[in-house]
Amino acid sequence: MKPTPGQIAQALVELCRELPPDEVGNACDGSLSLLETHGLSHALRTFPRLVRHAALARENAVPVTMTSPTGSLGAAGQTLVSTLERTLARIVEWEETADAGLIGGVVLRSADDRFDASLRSALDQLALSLTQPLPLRP
Amino acid sequence: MTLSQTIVRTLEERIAAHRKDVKRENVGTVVEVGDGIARLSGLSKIGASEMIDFGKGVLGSALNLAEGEVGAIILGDDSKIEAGDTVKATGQILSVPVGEALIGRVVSPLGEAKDGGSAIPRTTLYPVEKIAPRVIERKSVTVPLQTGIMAIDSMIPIGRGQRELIIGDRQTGKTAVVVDTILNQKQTQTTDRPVICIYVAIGQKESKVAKIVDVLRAGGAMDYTIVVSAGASEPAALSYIAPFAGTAMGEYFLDQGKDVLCIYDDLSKHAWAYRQVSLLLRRPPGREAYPGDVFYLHSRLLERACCLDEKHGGGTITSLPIIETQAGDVSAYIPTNVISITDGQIYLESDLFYKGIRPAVNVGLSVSRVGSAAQRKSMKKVAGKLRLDLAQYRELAIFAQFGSDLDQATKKQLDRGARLTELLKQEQYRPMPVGEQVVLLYAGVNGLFDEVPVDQLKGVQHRLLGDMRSKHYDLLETLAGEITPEAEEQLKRLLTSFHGKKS
Repeated sequence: MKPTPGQIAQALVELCRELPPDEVGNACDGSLSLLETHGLSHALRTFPRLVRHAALARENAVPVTMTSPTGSLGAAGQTLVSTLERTLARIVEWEETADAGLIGGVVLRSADDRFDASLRSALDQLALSLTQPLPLRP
Repeated sequence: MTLSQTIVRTLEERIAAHRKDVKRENVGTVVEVGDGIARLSGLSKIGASEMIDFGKGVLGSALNLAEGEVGAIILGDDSKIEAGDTVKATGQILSVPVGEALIGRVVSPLGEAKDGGSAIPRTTLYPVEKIAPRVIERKSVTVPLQTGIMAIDSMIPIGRGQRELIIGDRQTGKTAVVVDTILNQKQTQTTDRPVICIYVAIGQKESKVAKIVDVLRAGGAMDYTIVVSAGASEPAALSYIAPFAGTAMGEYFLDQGKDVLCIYDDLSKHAWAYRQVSLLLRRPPGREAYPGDVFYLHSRLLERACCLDEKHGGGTITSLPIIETQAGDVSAYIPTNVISITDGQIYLESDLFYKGIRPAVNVGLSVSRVGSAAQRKSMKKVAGKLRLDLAQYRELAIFAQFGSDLDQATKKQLDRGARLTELLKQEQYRPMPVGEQVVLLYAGVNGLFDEVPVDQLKGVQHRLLGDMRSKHYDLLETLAGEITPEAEEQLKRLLTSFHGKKS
């Protein structure tokens, strides 16, 4: 049965745990060859992401990106991470990015889920609500 | 309370009710973009045909769902999208605005105005893809859809709720037939069953669409017509969804119990667009490089044409798909697919067109599977003899080429056939009401034009119709429904006296 790209990524992560550091490159080359051998060349682009996810899953870690207007949440960010770790009972691998367009608040992204608590989003929702058709009769 | 006070109060209520909720979205990242398609990573919870928001006002639809990757078509300008951009699933399948506001407008397959007019309101949205009505919800086709083209209304009658394919080589008059059909629906607007027309232009030149809109506007047809246009310079993805969007717009009126005519010009280009999108998405190519589900592409579209029973509103959608053949080859892949789906075909031949027989309908190869079930009684009475006379004429015409001596009966049949063929010629943009068609065909099949030289027949025809319109309009109205014994007597007298005056 043909392996899936996700299975090859998981196998690579398991293998790299056992190999010495100077052999990790060869293991990666082997996994790429395996993808091509099984006609999975189309997955080459997304393979690094699959490996990262497999590695984090192996460590029972959740990757989280926190985006704020300044890119530095400070103590609030630490509190957020602690709350997530407590709730999920997993390690949170987090990084911060900046987007001034958010105006305020924060956007959390983990894998394919995004939680938007920014001021920009709130204003967009308010604008959508206010621009709905109005009653034309008194 | 005045209107302004009501508006202010509504706005205040909306602001007070507004809650700053945290939005949860399913997102992904653009891995590769180009040629109107995009490959995305993430979007693990997306469904098939779900709309994707690329940001910057560009939408797309997910077509390929693979592990770790989603293939999507971009329904807009892909130059604004870059690799690494974040995209989000909207949670909705692709929908278009529908409603009376679309009538008289030229719109894109996404419901955006293309005629420079006001924006189309998005009050009501219908999904582009929808399951066709079930068998139990339908009834048989009985109400005729008059095209105004004598050759079609007499021998290849179309009913409301039918799918009739119009097939032929390039420049054989396929679009002319459908434009005349749309123009002819003007007379239905004052009846209790007006027909709303939707013309879907797929991959056509913008100049051609503009010309068609001008013709429809000049004929007053834009008062009941919607034009959906996916131009040749626009992305193939828009050509792919155009006929489905047009059908969705028609289904809004169907649900109100109204009659709709949907024209797809043409499905050959639609298949090309789908092939392009499928090959770019790396779907395995089949025969002639079309994807394996190209039959399903057209079958699910054309199945949405229906005649609903009274319990479900009694509305109808009539489909007139157009297919362009190459060198008259009706046995090619896409033409045979669509022929097997539709309820008949109107075959237009280049040879007939160049001989001056326009509309260039090959009545021998054309068929309507609904047939006289959707034909008025008066037309049924004259059409049977017409079809027989023309069939005999076609057989005998071969012998006439040898120039041998022919007996009187054969010569008479050939003369009759030549005159009937001349009678069936019709000018473009001149659809004819049923009553007038019946008068002409009655005169033709009963030999009243046998003494008239073929090259003078059109002049005689015009004089006869002018006479009928000015002096015997009530008889035309009667003949539009049924040839009663009294009406037939009156018609015979009038034709005989006209024949006497002429000679």
